[in-house]
Amino acid sequence: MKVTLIGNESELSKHLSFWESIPAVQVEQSIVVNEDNLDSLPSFSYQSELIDVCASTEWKPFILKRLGRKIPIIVESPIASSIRETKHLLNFIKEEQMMIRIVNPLMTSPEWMNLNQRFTTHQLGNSGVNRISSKSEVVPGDDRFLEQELHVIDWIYRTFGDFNTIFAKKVDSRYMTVHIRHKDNSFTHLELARGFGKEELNIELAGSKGMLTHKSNETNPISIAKIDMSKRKVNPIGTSLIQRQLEDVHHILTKDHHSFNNITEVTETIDFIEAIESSFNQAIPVTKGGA
Amino acid sequence: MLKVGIISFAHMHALSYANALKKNNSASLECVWDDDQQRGIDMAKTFHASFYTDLDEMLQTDLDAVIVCSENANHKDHVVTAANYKKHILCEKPIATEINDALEMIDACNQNNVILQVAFPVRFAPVIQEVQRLVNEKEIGSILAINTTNHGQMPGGWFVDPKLSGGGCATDHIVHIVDTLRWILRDEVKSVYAEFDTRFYDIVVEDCGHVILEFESGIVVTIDPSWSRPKTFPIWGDVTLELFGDKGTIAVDAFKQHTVLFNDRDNKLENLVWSDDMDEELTKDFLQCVTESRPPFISGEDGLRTLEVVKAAYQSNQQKKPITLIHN
Repeated sequence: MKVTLIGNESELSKHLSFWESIPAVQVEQSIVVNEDNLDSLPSFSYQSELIDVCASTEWKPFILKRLGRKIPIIVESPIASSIRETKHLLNFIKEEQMMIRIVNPLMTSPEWMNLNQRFTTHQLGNSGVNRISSKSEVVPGDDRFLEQELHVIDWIYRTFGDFNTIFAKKVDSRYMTVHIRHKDNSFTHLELARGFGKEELNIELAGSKGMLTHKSNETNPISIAKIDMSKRKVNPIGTSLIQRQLEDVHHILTKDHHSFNNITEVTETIDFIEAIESSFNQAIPVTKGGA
Repeated sequence: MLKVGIISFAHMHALSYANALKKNNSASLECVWDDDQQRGIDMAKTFHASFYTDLDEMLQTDLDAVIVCSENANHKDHVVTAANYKKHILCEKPIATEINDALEMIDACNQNNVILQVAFPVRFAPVIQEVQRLVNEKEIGSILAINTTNHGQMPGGWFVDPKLSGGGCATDHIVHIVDTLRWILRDEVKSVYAEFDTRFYDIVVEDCGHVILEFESGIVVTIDPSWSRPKTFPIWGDVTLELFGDKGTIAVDAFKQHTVLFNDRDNKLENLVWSDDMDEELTKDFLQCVTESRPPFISGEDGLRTLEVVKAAYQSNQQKKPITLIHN
């Protein structure tokens, strides 16, 4: 398989080392984007069977619009800096009938992947109430709150399915609580708290045959305490996240080619986000399809 | 020595209150009435009390107070009857299943000049009292939002018979959180959005759901009241609060103070809570109210306010929209 890479120098080198490690892959071109002059992008070799876009988010719309429909493309989410721009780009991709796979890194991140697999293989029985609480120390800009949660919301859509009703409240631009009633009538409570002084992810999935929990602060296998009172957490995950992502893409391309294009799923995730935004702006529950 | 009777052991908390009375030096459990005669006889025997088959007959004795632990829908009849016999009353939560019943109970107690205390023991948990202090000292500044849970295992029995319980997990659990927060925040609920469903068990009442409240001050509160704890969960349930203030957060797990028992005898894991027993503290406070003739720490009105939230939550679930509360 011939692969072309386009992106920033630092990202490019990580992707390159992965593709070069696979004997059946030949890296056709490796194009470093010149951030001062995006128009200077060289022409692409259409001999490639895959284009791996590993550029900064703000460059992705420009690059993707230049690529056209001929060759399958992979790109990590988010593909644009705002929800509005993402939606615009998705429409462009659909109109151009581009073959593209937008990769959500959480879908190959070990803890999220583990929860997704156990849930979707019905190990918990009938799904009841799912609780996800994500806290970070960083305060987002007011209009960046949901953009930063794109991956979590995408994971929710891919794991628990589409929504029927969403009711969301946002407080002080730092805290958001989202009530999701899914199509199968199960519940998800998503809590997003930013800038409250701690980094934490707590997940609880309760079903009729059992419950799964994940608490980020209780899964650190190594903690180091020093005499000078400084603390350090080490969380080795073995295979790097990029390698996990690209291995997954490579697997799909070689074994499950028909499921490569995932624009529909990403569009549904954007609908999810728009419903959340609409609910907290209007202070009403938002129903799928507007009924 | 105060003489106390227990009206019904239908609610499992009766056992806990009876044990608390046994430990208390200023009161004695004198008698028991129960419409389930065998249960009543067994409990009376266990606690060395007399058993009555006729409630009026028991209330005609010189009892000072009663603890009502009958099925939720029977609270009204039992509280009004006991009030008319001038007995002070500790009533298991929820105060009632209908607003009008709660109003009638409060009125009967006022008319007869007896204490009506509603059993919200969470206020007496040392960890919750500490949280109240921290919030009032503005340890994390002004409160913006609170994420809470009062999970449990499905209790079965009359709890899942809507005629006797008034509803499922929403009736059973929302009141604890609402009472605790009204007390900590000194604030009232302004609006309620809720959705419920039955997804864990084959029962006719709701066993799960999610509630979003907005308080008068603008504080946003979420409550998960679900009976979602698996059979293998190491404790019956939980009471957790995570408070978000403009200067930080406080995470609270009311039953965190426990030891873990890896119980090979019964093939299960058990969390054995070692903090002060809140039912015991609640009972002690009620007895002190009676002795000192002081107003109860948790009044009938407190019970009514929490019931209003539960009723609004059911209304929201039916109408699929937020409900603005009207206080009775």
